[in-house]
Amino acid sequence: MSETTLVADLFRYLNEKLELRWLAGENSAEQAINTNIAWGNHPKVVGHMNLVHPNRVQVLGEIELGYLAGLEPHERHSALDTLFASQTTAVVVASDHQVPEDFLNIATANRVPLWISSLHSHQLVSTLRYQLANLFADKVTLHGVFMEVISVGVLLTGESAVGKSELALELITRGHRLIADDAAEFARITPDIVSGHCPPMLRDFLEVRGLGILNIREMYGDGALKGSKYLRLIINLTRQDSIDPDLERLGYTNSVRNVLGVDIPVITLQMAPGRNLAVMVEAAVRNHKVLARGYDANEDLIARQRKQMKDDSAETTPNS
Amino acid sequence: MIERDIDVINKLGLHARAAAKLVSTASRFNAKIELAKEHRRINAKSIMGVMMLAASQGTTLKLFIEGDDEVEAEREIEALFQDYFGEGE
Repeated sequence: MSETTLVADLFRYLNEKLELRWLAGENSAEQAINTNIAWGNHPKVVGHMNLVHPNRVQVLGEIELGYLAGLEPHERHSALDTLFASQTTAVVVASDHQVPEDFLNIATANRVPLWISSLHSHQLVSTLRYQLANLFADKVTLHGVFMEVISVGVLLTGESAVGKSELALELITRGHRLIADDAAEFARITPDIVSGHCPPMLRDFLEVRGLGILNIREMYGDGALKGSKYLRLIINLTRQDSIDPDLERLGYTNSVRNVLGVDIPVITLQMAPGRNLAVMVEAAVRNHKVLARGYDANEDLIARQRKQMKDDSAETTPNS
Repeated sequence: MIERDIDVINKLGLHARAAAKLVSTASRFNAKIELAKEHRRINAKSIMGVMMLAASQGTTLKLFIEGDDEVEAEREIEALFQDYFGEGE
């Protein structure tokens, strides 16, 4: 996330899913969150509290609270100091457990947010992991029209005025769905998946030269739009004859583009009068799905021809 | 109208890459260019057609060229075959 996230933002974001309430440490609301999570930075000394890491959200369930309650006063004091160190992003108490008074005091003193949720600790941990991964995932905005074509997330790219929006419009009329025009936001939500969605301000809109701004939802209904989709394929539209003609004929124009560390296949299509690009895009997506299943028509033809040549030479050799 | 024999001398014959090169060379000319192996006659500007010939090393093909730029087309196509399709063997 490029812009700073404040503790209050994080609370608002998590609150929808986790039913959080503030217990203490409200004075931390305007603090910025350090998103530079140091995964490898483990404490060097092994101890009871060595699972407390800086810049993390700590979850306290029944077991953790029981452990803290069973400690001798001086141990408890140092444990709470570690837990509520100022680098801790937040502490969340699960299952609406009773929280001792000294927790509240130390949270406020150290300006660490202390939240409570009715969710069970394991639900809390898995939901937090998912929500935080989404919130702090690597993000990038790409220029182009992001669409769902035959249930595959496809980004149409190309220089401006090459005809991306017209192509998008034609795909929409053929029953495919628009996700975002012009500035789709992509986030890497797992190591090999990039998910794209539309920034809220541009939702439902498509700009077509000559027609202006169109509201696709008003014109074609809810079915013509999709909220988000994984990016699986990029189709690049080009006007020039820049493609090496030797390679083009056997489909070797396929390349990849690195988006947030994930390689996305790129197919380059040339714009030319009389070419029905919507059909080309549909066919490209269908072929992409076939390729993803492990079948390559080029390889198949090449293999068949190789076999034919071998059979032919086997026939002629005995006679010669 | 040019009609002549042309030998496939490269080791791999008219395999996919060589066929693609031949097709892209042929496609640069206006002339109608065809190749024949035995009784099978195909358009030399079509990749599927050229691959269907399955012409291996040592095959003699018939080349038919007809059009205003037939002389240049014959020269370039012959050069391509003589050059082992740029494969060096």
